[in-house]
Amino acid sequence: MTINRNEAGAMLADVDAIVARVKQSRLYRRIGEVTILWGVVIVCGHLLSVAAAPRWSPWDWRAADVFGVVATIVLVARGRWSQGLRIPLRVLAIFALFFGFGLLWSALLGRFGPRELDAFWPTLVLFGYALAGLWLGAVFAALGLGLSALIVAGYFWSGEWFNLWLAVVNGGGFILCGLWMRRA
Amino acid sequence: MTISPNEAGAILAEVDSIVAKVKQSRRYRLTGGLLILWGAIVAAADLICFLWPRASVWTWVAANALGAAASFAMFRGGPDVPRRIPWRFLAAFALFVAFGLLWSVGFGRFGPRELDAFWPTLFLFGYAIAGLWFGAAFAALGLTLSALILAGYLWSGEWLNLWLAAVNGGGFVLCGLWMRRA
Repeated sequence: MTINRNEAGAMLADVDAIVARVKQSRLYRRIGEVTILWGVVIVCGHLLSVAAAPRWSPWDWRAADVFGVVATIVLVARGRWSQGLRIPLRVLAIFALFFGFGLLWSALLGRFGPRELDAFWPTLVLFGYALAGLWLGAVFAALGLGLSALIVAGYFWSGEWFNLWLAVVNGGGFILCGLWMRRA
Repeated sequence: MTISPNEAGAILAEVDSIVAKVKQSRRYRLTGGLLILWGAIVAAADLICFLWPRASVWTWVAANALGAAASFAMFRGGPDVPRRIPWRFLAAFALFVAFGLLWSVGFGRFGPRELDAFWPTLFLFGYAIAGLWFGAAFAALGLTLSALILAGYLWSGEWLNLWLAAVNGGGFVLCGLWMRRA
């Protein structure tokens, strides 16, 4: 069996495409795990805010965030060492930029009350999801826009149940998204 | 004349690098023109707001309408225009505007000073993200001007609008001029 130059080129292109898809799938799996982790952290954070006195709410979230960051580092490091997977520097830089912008407005310049703070961070992260969806796939955009709309609805109409609403919509949404990414 | 496979590979890599540089240069030229336009509009609007604070809402409505119309005209008529309409970038721009409206008009309890700082830092945040793909100039512009706006918010007192006219408007014009030369 012989193949000509064009056929060989096409086959090599196929191999390249498959390699790229496998890499993307592995990255999706890893990001999916991190997304599920943060979904659980968010659910726990909101449930703690409901259960504990309001004055403890900032400390609940600080504890939840510290736990989330440490668990994320462990997950990412484990994945890198076991599979030789590299998290692109750009992804880390994007996280840093989102965190910096969020911190600037939630802690320094914005005059947010507790209800606004509860809504700000999820809508900022979901805004990032919607943006990423323009390049990475419609599911991200749908999640970003759909969950943001539900958070806006909860902000206006959930009254005292806002934290519980966010635990379901925001935390649950992240877990569902992570599960979908692990299957992609 | 014959060339070895290694030499051929090196020549092809050089061609790829030149093509990438030309693409970036065209992107910088188009964006540079838009930056100069928006820098001039932002500087003028901030100056008007400094002189007549009561007219600030209508000043910004008019400035944004003028800027959008002029950007559209520039985009359609310029020599560096891409052949296809960049729908993704338009959608990304729409998402930035929607997020900004949600927080500046909807949820946020922003006073005039916060509003003056919010919109530029939001768009400069977008520039910094874009810089991760399209060139360090965007990222440098986003981060540096954001830091200067933050400094102005904290320390410029009554002169914030004048500070923004110089830093935000002037910064955009300077960056636009630099990008057109790059």
